[in-house]
Amino acid sequence: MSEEAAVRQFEVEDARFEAQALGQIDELMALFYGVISFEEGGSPDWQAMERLFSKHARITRVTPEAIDHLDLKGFRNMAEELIEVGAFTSFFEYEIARRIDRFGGVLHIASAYETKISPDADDYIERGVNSLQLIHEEGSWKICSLCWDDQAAASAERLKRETTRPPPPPR
Amino acid sequence: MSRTARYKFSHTRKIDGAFRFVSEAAEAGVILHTGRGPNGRHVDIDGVRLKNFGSCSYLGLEALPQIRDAAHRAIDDYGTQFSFSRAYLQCELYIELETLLEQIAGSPILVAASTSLAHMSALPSLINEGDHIIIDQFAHASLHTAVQLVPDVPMEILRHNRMDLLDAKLSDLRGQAGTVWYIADGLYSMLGDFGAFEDLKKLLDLHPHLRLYIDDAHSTSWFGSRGRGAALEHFANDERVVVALSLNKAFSAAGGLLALPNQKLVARIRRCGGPMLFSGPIQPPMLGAAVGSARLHVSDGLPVLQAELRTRLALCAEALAGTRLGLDTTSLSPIFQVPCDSPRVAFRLAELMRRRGFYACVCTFPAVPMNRPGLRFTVTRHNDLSDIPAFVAALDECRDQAKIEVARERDDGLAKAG
Repeated sequence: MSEEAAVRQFEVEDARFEAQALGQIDELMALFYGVISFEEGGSPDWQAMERLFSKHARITRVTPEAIDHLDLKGFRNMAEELIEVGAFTSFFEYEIARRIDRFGGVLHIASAYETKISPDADDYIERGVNSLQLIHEEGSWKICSLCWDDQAAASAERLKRETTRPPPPPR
Repeated sequence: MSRTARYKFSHTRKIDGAFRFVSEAAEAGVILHTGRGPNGRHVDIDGVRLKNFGSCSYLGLEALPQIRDAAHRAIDDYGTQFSFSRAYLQCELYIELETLLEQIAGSPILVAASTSLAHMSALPSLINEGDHIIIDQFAHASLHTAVQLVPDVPMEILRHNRMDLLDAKLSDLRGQAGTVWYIADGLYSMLGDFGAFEDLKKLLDLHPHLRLYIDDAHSTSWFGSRGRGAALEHFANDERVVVALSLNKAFSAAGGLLALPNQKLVARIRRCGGPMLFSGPIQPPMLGAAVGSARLHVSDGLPVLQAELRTRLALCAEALAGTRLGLDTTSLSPIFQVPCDSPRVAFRLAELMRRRGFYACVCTFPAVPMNRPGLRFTVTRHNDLSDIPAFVAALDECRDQAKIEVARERDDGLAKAG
């Protein structure tokens, strides 16, 4: 196949993807932010979170002090430790902008987020960008990599300005 | 201590992280201030006289002549220090102080140079191999530090005041552990809520292997008969409860004390509690002040002062009821926290209040959880009655203003960046 034909085929596939998969991605991202958030005294929905991730997934958290290299179990341990010592007693994270790139069977989602003390808080505590890689596995899109920097508010702002397609409202 | 962390954050990372968060507040200019002159109704910061809503001297006793005179007399009699370990030789003022404090606590007591040192002395002496520690996640930092001095004893952290979870853990541990020590505060210093005393009473009845160790530093003096605090009001003469009180804060001197069930435990902690042997004593000026304050506590004068504080707390509650601040004032304590959406808003609120002539303290992570930033204020006997409604009204207006200003600056910053 010529290079030109390959590009044309990609464009056709992209249009098909737009039609078929974007709804699934909207749903997945709504679930992603839903399961990590929890009310006062509660916890993230770990079972629901497991269903969103590939069992081979890696999670990487970048902070000014250190980088955490985790699998899902390690991520749960880290979050539970932070909850246990009282660093968080509730958690609300929302998507504020999103950009999707498809590279064959790999999706990259740059998802700008903000964390708040409550759903109706005016100001946010932190903003950043979740960088997610998704693969189609076992019949659905699954997150195989999640990586974010705790201190990337400016990147979140830029993504918010650049993206034309706003994410669906939080549920 | 043998708590197995679910996830290991290195010691250096914790310190670096704390430095980052505390530095944010320092750079915003809302902490690490220096005051000038006596603090009472007012506090002078950076040459500006502010009405003081940040002090932990809930009864304002440090201003009373009889306590100041007692400190002066002690300097005249003993000098500025009595430099011996109490293991060898103690200043005779300790005898009078401990006699008075026993009357206050209604139980055997032991004085320490600070409440933190009282914990460090008591917990390793009280808790034995085979026991189990459960500590409230918001228990004072000095308690979290002191439990680390108890080796080889399993420790768990409990979500704040979750008595349902404590009940379940106690049931699980019955027959598995010796004594289960639940360690908590009587009055929490940042959020201003009390320990779950009534539920704890029920749990003591249900679980014979439960013992309580309560740091009641923030309700000493202003609460209860002879100022013995909220915990001793609920657990007086209970053989299974140890309470630590403060001789600072509302007591207005220096040091801490342990109210213990019997003299045997007093002797045990006095003779083998580390800081009781190796740490210095309360020095004569503050020992004198403590004796002066203790005399006041056992006199007819204390209830009058406590009532004067309660009048101010009621006035504050009444004023708060007419605001949009949404503070729960059902169990009144002198500590209040106004929640803010973010540390930025809390910092701005503190600054706006200063511009209105009021001093109050920000509380952000790591002093409180990430999701609980706010402005902590206290009501004390120092506050003039007329200052309290004015302070609350200013707070109500300034919180909205802080939100608006922070949002505007954020939007302006974005516009410039764009």
